[in-house]
Amino acid sequence: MNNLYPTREKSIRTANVDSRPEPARWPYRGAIEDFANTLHAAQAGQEWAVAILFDALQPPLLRFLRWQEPSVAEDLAAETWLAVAERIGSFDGGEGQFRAWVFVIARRRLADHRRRAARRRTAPVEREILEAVADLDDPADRVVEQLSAEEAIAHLVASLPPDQAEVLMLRVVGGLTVDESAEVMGKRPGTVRVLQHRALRRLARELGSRSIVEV
Amino acid sequence: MFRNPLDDDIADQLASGTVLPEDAPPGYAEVATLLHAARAGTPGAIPGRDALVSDIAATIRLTPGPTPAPIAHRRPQVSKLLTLKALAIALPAMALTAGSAAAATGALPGPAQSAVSHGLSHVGISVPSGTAVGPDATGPAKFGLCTAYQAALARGQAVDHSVAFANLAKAAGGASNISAYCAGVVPASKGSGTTGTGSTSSGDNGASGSNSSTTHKGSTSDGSSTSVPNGPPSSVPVGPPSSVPNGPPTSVPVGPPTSVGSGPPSSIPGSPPSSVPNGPPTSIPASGQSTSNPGASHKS
Repeated sequence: MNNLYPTREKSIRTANVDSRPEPARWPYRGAIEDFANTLHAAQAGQEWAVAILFDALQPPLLRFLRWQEPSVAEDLAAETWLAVAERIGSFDGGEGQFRAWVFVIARRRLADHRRRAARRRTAPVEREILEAVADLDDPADRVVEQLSAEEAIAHLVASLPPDQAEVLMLRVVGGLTVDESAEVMGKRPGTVRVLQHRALRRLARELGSRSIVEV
Repeated sequence: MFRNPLDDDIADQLASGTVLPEDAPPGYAEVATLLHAARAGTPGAIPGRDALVSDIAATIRLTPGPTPAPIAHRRPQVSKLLTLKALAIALPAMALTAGSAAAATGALPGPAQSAVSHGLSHVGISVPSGTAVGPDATGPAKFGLCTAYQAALARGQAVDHSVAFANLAKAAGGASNISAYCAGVVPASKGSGTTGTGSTSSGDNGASGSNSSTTHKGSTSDGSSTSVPNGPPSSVPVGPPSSVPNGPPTSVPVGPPTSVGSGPPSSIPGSPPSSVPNGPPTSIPASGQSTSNPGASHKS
């Protein structure tokens, strides 16, 4: 089916992408050393362990929330952590499940917030995104490589329908697998795969039609 | 041309943001770059991070464990408090209305006795406290003590922890002598609170240890007595009452007849006592209220 690009495929399939150097990274999946012990200590309320979990999850959490509700992202993140603190004692699972669990909670906080704010949600989000995207078209000839994470996210979100954007946000920013993303979104993994495909194709089309990727 | 179908595995890797542009399939290098950029970034210092971490840790420590058990743990404590409170209210009422020999003579278990004593002290009634010297078993309290003693015996309860019992034992010349000591005071009864000695002549019916509507009538609460007996009665009824009251009581107990010291009475006087106590109470209330040890008031 991908016969046109056999060698490319092969290189992707065999590449150990995680071993490649990355420009800047914070702890992602597997980066929490000895997650089981860390979780256990965190469940006992030990600060060092809480700090490890917080440092691993707060940045992606904030990005995820900023994408959805930039003006209250910090508050929602704090609410999320409070809920995590109240329920972490009953959590049981690995690091990936923990990430997914935290995002599930964050998503609920988000939904609660939107319910409260019902019709007060106005332009800010869109405006911010538009401004960010407008920056992309700046004649400063910015290339994708030079985009900050925030700009890249803004571009991604502006190019995609919400559900497709969310899949990529959870996968890329949240560091979740397809199954975990599906759990967070309350969808079937197959559905998430379809959304993921569509998102990637759409992004490729978008980016191809722009000239910002001339490297 | 870049919109070629994507293999699931490739899509998965692309979407995770971990594929470098040079590894992306044709047409997807830009996507890989964008997603890579979205994933990267320098988190930098999160404002208020330390305070947040402290708050989270503190919240975890304050939050009960996996199960909602802590709520279940707290509840009994609250209800325990309420129960104690109710007890403190109910017991004095009972002591006032029912003339419980046990409470009056300090024969209740220590904490209960203290609670009753404390509760009664608020309404101006003096009852032995848990650490008090207890009633004088050789004096007027003898009847009450013996009644309580026999009631406890009948229930198979141990009574030897109370001050009152110690006094009784002392008066009897030893714990083993109590039965003999009490033999002349209280008719040997199989049950408790059912001595049924009451209504005939001595006004002792209130001393049966359970609810008797005639207690106050037969004792001092009406303040009608004019003289005070100063010794044990010269004679004690030993047999069943020669007559059983069958009319309605003239007064109704104010509090619930929470029988502390005994089981349910086997018989309840149906009418007021046929006779007025022939001996006045050991003490006279100052204001028509029962101010003395109710146990003493049982003794006529």
